[in-house]
Amino acid sequence: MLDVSQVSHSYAAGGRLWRKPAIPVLQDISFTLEPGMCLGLLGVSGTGKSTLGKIILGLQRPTAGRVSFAGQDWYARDRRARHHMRREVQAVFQDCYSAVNPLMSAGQIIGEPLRNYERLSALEQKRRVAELLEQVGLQASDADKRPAAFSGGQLQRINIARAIALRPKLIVLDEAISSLDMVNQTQILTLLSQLRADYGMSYLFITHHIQAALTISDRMLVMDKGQIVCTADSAAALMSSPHPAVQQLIAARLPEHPSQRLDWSSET
Amino acid sequence: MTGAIIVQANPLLETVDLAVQCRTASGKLDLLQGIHLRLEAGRVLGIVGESGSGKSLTCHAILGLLHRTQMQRSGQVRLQGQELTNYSERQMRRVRGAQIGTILQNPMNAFMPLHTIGTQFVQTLRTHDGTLSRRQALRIAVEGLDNMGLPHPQRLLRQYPFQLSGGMLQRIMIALSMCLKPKLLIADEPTTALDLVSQLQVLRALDRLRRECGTAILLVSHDLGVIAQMADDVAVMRHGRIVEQGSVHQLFDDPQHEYTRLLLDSRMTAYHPLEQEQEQEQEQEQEQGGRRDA
Amino acid sequence: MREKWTFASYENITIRICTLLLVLLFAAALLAPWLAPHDPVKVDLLHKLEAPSTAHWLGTDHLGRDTLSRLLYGSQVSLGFALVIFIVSVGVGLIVGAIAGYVGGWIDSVLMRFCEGVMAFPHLVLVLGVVGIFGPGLLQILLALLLVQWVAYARICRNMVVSLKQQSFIAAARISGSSTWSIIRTHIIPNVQRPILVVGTLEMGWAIMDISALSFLGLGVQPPQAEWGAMIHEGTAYIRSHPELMIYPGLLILIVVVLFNLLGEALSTKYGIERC
Repeated sequence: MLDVSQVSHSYAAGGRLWRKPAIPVLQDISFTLEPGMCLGLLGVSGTGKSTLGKIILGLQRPTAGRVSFAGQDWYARDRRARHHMRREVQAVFQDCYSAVNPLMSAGQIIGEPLRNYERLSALEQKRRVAELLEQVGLQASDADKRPAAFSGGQLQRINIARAIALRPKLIVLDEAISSLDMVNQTQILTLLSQLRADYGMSYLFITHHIQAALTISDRMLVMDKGQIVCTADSAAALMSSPHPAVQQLIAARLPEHPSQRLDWSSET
Repeated sequence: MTGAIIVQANPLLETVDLAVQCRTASGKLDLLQGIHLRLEAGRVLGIVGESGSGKSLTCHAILGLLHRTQMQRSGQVRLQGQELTNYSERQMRRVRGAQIGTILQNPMNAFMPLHTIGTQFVQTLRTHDGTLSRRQALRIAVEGLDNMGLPHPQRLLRQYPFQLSGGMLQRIMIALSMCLKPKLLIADEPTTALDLVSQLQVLRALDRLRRECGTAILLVSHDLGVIAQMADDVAVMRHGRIVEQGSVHQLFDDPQHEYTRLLLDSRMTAYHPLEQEQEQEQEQEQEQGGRRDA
Repeated sequence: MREKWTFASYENITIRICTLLLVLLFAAALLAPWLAPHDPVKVDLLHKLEAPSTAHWLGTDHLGRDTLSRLLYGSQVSLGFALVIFIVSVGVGLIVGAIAGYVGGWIDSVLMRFCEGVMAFPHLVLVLGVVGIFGPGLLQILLALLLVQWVAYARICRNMVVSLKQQSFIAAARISGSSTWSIIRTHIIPNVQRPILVVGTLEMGWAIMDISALSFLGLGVQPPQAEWGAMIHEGTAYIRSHPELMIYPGLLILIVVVLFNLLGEALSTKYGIERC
């Protein structure tokens, strides 16, 4: 469904007059994502995961390579075609606070994609928003509240409601749970798995959180310095990857119990 | 409510019935209530709870950094038997600099964006020890960063905060604390904004600070992994109160409060097979080791 | 702790009182033809420099013109022109700033360098230059002040937009299928409105001062038309015998400027905006 082939990207550095050599962020990334699958994209910060997410969302044209969705090239199409494709690929971002316009009500936030694509009557739109709010575990009466009245976990639910409003085929979850506390992380992950089961959507789950990725993904890609260094279909395969970046991620997990503490006492 | 804590005559930090109220249009609102904390020298006290439970506010209340007209503090805060609540703003500033170090969630806020790391490092060192020359301070800074295992300390000192990653800045903050050797470090969600690999490096740095300088750490986190790794004692907070307090083992093995159990259940491990596999591997290794010993 | 507290509403009270008083003043200016008891430019030398009486509540000036009527008509000029300056410069500034900030690239560079050029130029010199070229008069002053003021709004707006653009709700809106124009309309402008309102309120005070100052110097309103600054100027000849001729318009300018400043301060506290 999603086909990313040989995508490379680099950011131009410096001003318009004194251009420095471009900084490469992504090098020759290729992968495919089948319908209904959850692909985990793992890596530490600064490895170009988010840039890749933006490219897949059609927000950033890559310097080289092709991104096609359902056989259509994102960046070769005209604006109208892209507008139509856009409804199939939605996103949830890391910072739930900045992902919502502080002046809009929850209902307006969730209703934005509906307004753009579905042209519903006011009543119908209200009903759909209420439905979506209930689907993500909030109440229909929350539609009139402003973002300031919600906690982080609730806001992330609103973001999810906005993402699923159009019943997209793919949702890019860019560190969608990283800014939440543990209780909310678990709840949001459960919600996401449940929604996937209900609608058969695909997820691209971008994260540095190895446990979360393992919980929800069918396949995992590990990125390091702009390249994919490991593809694993199971936890065991991931664990046995010899690449140092993968091992570093695995070693960085913290213990669940004080008795399993990592021993640092010998270090100086 | 409070679990068994080894009672010593004079703990490093002690809060007695610390409370914070907020003045609002519709009357007073309790933000914190009945916070009793004890932190012995060289130990780590973890405060855990979900966002909005008053963890950060507790830190601010201890440091005397509350909004002056809107927040009201009551109760006692003692640092080495000294009553901090009676201190003037000027005295508090000296205490915050010399005896209590702080590390915040967003390290960008801790640095001035317009100065290089080196300038700020040297400035801080020299305000604490007036006898230091610039050159001496710079040498201490280089040693401090090098000691913390940060690469290219000389180059690092010439860089500006925005050129560095969050994890790097956080480690620089800890390196700075290490040079100042405070009695107490208040770390408010020091790793929340970081990825796992940087998180581990920062926690390691904190651990070294404690081991080598004997600094006690008040570690605020919502991540039970961080708490399990670092803390000796834990206080669980919810809605501005401490619901459970005790040693880390006691808390993880035998949680008393329902909310603590909820927190423990929210750990993401129950789902996936990874841990079990690893445990099996470990068991196998142990078995093999055992056989070899035999 | 991300809840929003509602603090004792000292600001709200200030905002209400200031707005009420300003609305009254604007209403008085608008209704001047009906409220004024006399023709503001009718010379009556038999009744010059009279003390307050039932016929002339605030007395008459050196040409026997009714002071109250002149003050009322004068407020039309001071307040009306300040409002025009505010509306036009905010409008232009908002559009230019939003385009520069949102589109970015060389358009941003060109527009902002132009704005900086205007800002770097001393305002008074610019205004005097315009008056020098086109001769003294209200329209010329209006033009000169507009030229100076929209730049400030454009820059504030542009910087706001640049920082807004990095917030992920703009990206989310694009993903939701909103067009550039609809993003500017529904997400950018409402979020820029508040700071613009704050700065605008404070700038209104300055605009009134500027108009009065230039009229005082004889560069703005031409006699016999009434205007506060011009009235002060006319009163200077009688400063010893009839200081009230200067005090009335001076007091009005003071009140209006103070009201605008109080309102601006209260708004900026309420919205939590740091003034630039």
